Formats: sequence, structure tokens, C-alpha cells
Amino acid sequence: MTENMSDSINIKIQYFAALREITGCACETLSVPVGSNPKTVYQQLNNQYDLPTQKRLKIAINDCFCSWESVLTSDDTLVFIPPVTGG
Amino acid sequence: MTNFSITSEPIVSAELIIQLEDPDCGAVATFSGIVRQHNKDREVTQLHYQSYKTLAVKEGNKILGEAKEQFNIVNALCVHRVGDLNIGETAVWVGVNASHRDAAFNACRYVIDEIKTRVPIWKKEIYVDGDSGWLEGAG
Repeated sequence: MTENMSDSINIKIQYFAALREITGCACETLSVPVGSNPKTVYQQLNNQYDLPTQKRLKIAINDCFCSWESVLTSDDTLVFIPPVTGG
Repeated sequence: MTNFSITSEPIVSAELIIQLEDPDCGAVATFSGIVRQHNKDREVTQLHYQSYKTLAVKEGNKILGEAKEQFNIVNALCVHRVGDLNIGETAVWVGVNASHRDAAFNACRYVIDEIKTRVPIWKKEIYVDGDSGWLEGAG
């Protein structure tokens, strides 16, 4: 295996509800710089999509609630969770 | 089977309540959340529910565990439906059994309130005029 010399990692992003409609996909793989966190990834995605303000979203990494500052590692699955409306 | 589950099949409360039969329990409290015809003055024809299933089941079971710790109950169950639901169908069902009614009522209320604010499930309303939209939630 050759090391990725560009200092980037691949992560998977899953989308739900309104975010799935905005992005037009349920999941995608994204190359992000090493040291990225959900905040920087959201900013990166905002260049591509017209995303809502991050204020009301929660974060999950690998099916656990996390903070916007959690550092991502290679092959992590990241989810931006819109305000929930079950029940 | 975990106590919190997500299903795309119709919820049959009569089948679920059997799981709460217990000779030590004098009380069973249940809550059914039903798809209604109107929301904020708009006529709704159908609802579509979507879940982030892995985390929803994990968080739902956490809530049921909290209910068992906080209230003097024996067991708590919850099933949430996903997919397309018509008016009158059950979207969510909660059932709690306990020795006495106070604990059963309080725990049932706790479970549905927490589920509505913490479990990653989303609802999209389809209106009679063909328009539709994901609800925003309390945030």
C-alpha cells in the first residue's frame, strides 16, 4: 500500500431528511485534509451545496453523538443530524 | 429483540401489549402517536418517516434504560414506524408496565417526550395540494 502523500483522508458522509434532498444523495465519500473536523467538513460541503446553518444540527461519527470539533480519522462515517421530528 | 425497534410494517398494539403481561404488574400505560389530518392549518394526506436506524435504536434503548432507572417500573417498550403512513396509522407506540399506575404513567410520558427530541427520526408531510416538506423540529 502506498501512503497518501496529499495529507488527506477519505471519510463517508451519510445524509438524512432535508439534507438528503439538498445534496441529492444518501451517502458519499469525501476527501478531506488530515485534522479535519465536522465543522471544517461542513464548510467544505457548503462550497458544493446550499446547506442550512449548522446551528441546529447535531453530529454523529461512527454512530455516536460527537462534537463539531471532534477530529476525523480515515474511513470515519460522519452524519449531520437535522432537528429530529419523530413521534 | 431490543426494547426499542424501528419497523416499516404497521404497528399492531394488541400484539405489543402482550409482551407487557406480568403477574407482578398492576399497571400498563401505553401511548400511541397517530398520523393526523391537519398540521398548522394545512391538510395532510400522508406522512413519510425516515430514520438514521443504527443511532435511533441505540438512543431509543438508552431512553428506555433511563426510564427504568428513574421510575419504579418493570419494563418499557417502544416501536417507531418508518416509510409512508396514511392518516390514522400508528407512527409510534410506547408501553410501560409497573406495580402501580403513577410510575407507569410517568415513565410512559418520559419515554415519548425524550424520543420526540432525541431520536434521529424525521417526518415529511405530504399535503393535499401536492406540496410536501420536512418538518423543522424544535432543534
